[in-house]
Amino acid sequence: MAPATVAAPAPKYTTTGTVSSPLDLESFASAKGEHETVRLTSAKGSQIRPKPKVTLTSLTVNNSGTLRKLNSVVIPIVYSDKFYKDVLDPSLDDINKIVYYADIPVGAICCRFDNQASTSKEKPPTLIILTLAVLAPYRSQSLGSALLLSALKASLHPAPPPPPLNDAKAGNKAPAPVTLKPRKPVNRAMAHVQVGNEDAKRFYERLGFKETEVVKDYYSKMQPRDAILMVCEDIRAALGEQANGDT
Amino acid sequence: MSNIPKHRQLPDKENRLFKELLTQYEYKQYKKGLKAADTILKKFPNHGETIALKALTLHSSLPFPMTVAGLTKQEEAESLARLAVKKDITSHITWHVLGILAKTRKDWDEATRAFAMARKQDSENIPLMRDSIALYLHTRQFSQAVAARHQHLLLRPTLRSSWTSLIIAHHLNGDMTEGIEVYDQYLGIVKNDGATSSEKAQLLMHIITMCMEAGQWDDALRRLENGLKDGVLSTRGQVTQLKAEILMQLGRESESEDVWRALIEQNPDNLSYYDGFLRTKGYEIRKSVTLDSTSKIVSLLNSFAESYPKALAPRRMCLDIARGDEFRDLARAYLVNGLEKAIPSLFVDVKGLYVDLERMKIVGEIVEDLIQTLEKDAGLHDDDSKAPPTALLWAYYFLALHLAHPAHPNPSYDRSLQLLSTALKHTPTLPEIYMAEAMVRKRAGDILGAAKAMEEARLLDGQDRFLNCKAAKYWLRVGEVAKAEELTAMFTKKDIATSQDLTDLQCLWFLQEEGDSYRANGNLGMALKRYQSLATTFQDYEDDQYDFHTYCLRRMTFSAYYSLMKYEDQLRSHPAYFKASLAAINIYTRLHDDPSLKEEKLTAEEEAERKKAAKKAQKAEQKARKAAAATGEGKKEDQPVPDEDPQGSKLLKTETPLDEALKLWKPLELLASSRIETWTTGYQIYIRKKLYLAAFKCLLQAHDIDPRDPNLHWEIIHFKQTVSAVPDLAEPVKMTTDQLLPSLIPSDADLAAYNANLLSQHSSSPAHILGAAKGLSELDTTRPIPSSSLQAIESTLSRLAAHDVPPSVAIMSSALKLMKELGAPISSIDSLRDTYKSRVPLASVFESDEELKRRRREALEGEEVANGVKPDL
Repeated sequence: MAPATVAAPAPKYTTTGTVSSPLDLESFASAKGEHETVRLTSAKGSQIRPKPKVTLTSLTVNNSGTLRKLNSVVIPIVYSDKFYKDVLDPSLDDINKIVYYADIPVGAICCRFDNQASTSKEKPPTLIILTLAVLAPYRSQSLGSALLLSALKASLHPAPPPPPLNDAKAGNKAPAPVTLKPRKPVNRAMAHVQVGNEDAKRFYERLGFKETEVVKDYYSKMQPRDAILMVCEDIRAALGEQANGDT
Repeated sequence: MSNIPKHRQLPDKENRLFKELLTQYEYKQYKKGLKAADTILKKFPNHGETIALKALTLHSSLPFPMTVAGLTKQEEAESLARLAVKKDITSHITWHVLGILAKTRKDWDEATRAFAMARKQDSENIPLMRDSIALYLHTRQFSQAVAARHQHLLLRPTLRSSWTSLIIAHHLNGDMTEGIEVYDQYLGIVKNDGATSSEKAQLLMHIITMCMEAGQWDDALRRLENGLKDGVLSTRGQVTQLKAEILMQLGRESESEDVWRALIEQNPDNLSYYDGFLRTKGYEIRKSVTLDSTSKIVSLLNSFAESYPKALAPRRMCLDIARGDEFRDLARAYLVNGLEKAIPSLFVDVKGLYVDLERMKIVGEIVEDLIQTLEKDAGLHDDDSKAPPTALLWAYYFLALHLAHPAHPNPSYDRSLQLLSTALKHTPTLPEIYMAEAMVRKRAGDILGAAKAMEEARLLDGQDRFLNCKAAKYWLRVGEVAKAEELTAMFTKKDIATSQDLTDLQCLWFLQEEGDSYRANGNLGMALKRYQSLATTFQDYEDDQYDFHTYCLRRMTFSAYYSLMKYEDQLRSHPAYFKASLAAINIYTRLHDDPSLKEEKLTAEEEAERKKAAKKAQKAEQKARKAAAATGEGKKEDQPVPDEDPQGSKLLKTETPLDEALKLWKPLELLASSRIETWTTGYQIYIRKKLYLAAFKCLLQAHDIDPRDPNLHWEIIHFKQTVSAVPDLAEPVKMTTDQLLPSLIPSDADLAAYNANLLSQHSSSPAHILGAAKGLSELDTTRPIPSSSLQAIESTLSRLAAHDVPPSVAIMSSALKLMKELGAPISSIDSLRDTYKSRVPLASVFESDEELKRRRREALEGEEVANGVKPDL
């Protein structure tokens, strides 16, 4: 299961999830890998018609207000201004996304990396899922899976960071834009789920995460205070890919 | 050479210099040119043409944007040009220069005269002629333009543009036959004119429309078909539309029908094609539809809807025509489609039906029913499919706007707000919902809550300029100019004031709204400044057309040019000009009535603030000057000319407010004559100028439009009272009014009964109730008005809160203003305000001033806490 030393695929921009090529939710309805049979569409089995357009968009300073709104409605935790600043880090541009359903923002995922440069076995580089929110009326339509899978995919196949903004208007006062180095692929992911939140637990299990331990007093301001640590040791397997990058 | 007059002759040396001067001007060597001119003038100070060229060179070397030093040079150039003409009145050069200077000053009339004079001196000068023609066209002297064009053609018969321009000149002059004749001759004479195919097509199309305008339908059709046969025209678009039109006029309905069908196939979403098609069947659906033709039209349109399943146009048109149950079915299908596809503009599209209350009611019922179905999570179709969750959201949005629509006979703002809060629980990230809340709150009179809702929408997406502008506009409505400018500044240039940038960008809504905001705050000077810059913008639009007189003819875009000319002719009928000029006129008439308004009344607090601001500005200026001195640039003369009247106080202190008002009103008289407000406002100006006949004419015109208009009503009473109080009325005035006044109001009528009559006839119209109250105030001419009359007025005005009268916050506010103007005691104003408040509890405008101030402060402070998001552009 140890990640083989494969040459990183040539970085390229993908247009998946943009307005010109919207996501097809049905492709997310069945998670790849060992949980292939689980269908995520609503239990009744009735189809949604007409099929709405679903797109992903990066976080920016300008849609920060929308992200705040989504998180504050769905998640009972108040995040700090620092949180909202950190998730805008350009190196996370291909991971942190807002999902648009029929041109309305309805969900978002925010992550960060831990031990990114580490090579030790005890502390392997890991993608930590911080928040994953989808508004209630839009659930059971694979939007959450779409967000999570796109983040996992990006973690494994980092896109080159966006080109630095041409800040000609700011004049010479602005510091020279730094071109970011591309990230290394990260093959491990982890998320915290509140004890008792079975739906969320099942959701992560379907996508290849496994329950590992219970973190005591993870949450300080809500009950129950404990969280289950869900870990996906091999993102590649969860995405159903071979080691050489084929699906 | 011998026929050069003596005073113009120069010795050889100076003559050479003069020729050099001409080339130096051509090559833009202005400094050298000025030197040469001065050398000649040293010896021959009276040589007119040299003086003229000096003026021209000086004028061309002026800096842009204009600086302080440039201004004096400009004056020098102007006076030199005038002097030159005096010294040598028979030279075409002196007149030409005078004309060029007037043209850049945008004094079109003087420029036209100067160019005409120049042409008289040198009738074969082509450049001169071209400029002169453009000026004739600009000042709409078409017959002169035709004559000049003719002469141009005689001088340059081989030039294509000489011919085509003559055709257009004839067209503008209204002489179609002559224009078409010229075209035919042109075709006969110039075989190979080198025009590109699109240029040929444009010319032919224009000739065809000229034929149509002249009513020569056969000729038009012949030309069109020949054009198609020769490959000059293509069947796409407008050509085919013209063909259908011509066939229709020739009475060949069935052929026309086929053409319209072909057009619909080209674009099944063009409403005018369906209009045309139905006309061939004898249905004028924009005018009236008889009951029995309804079903026939609907079935025709339905067959199109079936052939083009994605086209909305035939489906939407059906809704305009169908009635009853048929309408209900069609409307339901249309609404379901719109909601499922999440079309945000669905309400704006459908509300056009609300002119008919029955249709409005049915639409409301359908949406209520759809919401019930969707809330049960059921599908909207017969199969087991489900609607996307957005359908319910947009249905809430639709119904909320429906319930608060001004045409709604019984608007229910509470329910509407309730629906929106349900929608926000469903999806809190859709800005439209917040915007709808803002709109509903605005209609309910809660402008502060409206501004807050709009602000919330803005915060969702900092880079959305539309939301930014909307929020700014709503803050302006509350009177928070500073807050609004802070918002707009996020998108405007950083190095100049945001209001200046928006003025340069000719942003009409901003000028209007900020003017209104200043007016509401009592800052009449700034309000006038904004309204006047809006009016200036329209002058700029008009002046901008000058370049197109030559440009369009050179590019051979005749139809576009012709429609531009027609557009410019009625430019000031634009609603933005109408609104701003009425607002400015209102201020001017108030200034006339009460000149004390010209002096600013400041409280001690405001005075201190003003002083502080002035000090700050002074310091900033000093700093800037120091910085400029340090970098060594920017001597004082090189500074751009500063705004002469930054606070609008010069506008406010005008000696002749009524003349200023009249200047704004004149274009309305011509271009907005069908709107009754034009005349009722014109009356306000003329009666103050004591021009009784003109005032009376305004009343007559207004009476023709709507004899029961509430403003006209009290103005008639006012006029009658005023005229009868004038002791020495001029005889013609007296005669005219005696003769014609009875057509407005019976001469023996009891004014009080006349007034009461209006009220009883329109007892549930808020505007008429206010009109009747104003009528009452005019009946009693003693001032201060006695308390008995005041009581009558108050009791009339209190009817505005009655339950059978639709509540109108705007009119209630004007009612309170009227009471204040009449000097009513505070207690009665307060009690009236309380009455209104109980009728429209959401309306924040009826809170006391302190309460309003407190809330405003609270809203702004709350803003600062929430305002963590600033756009980064």
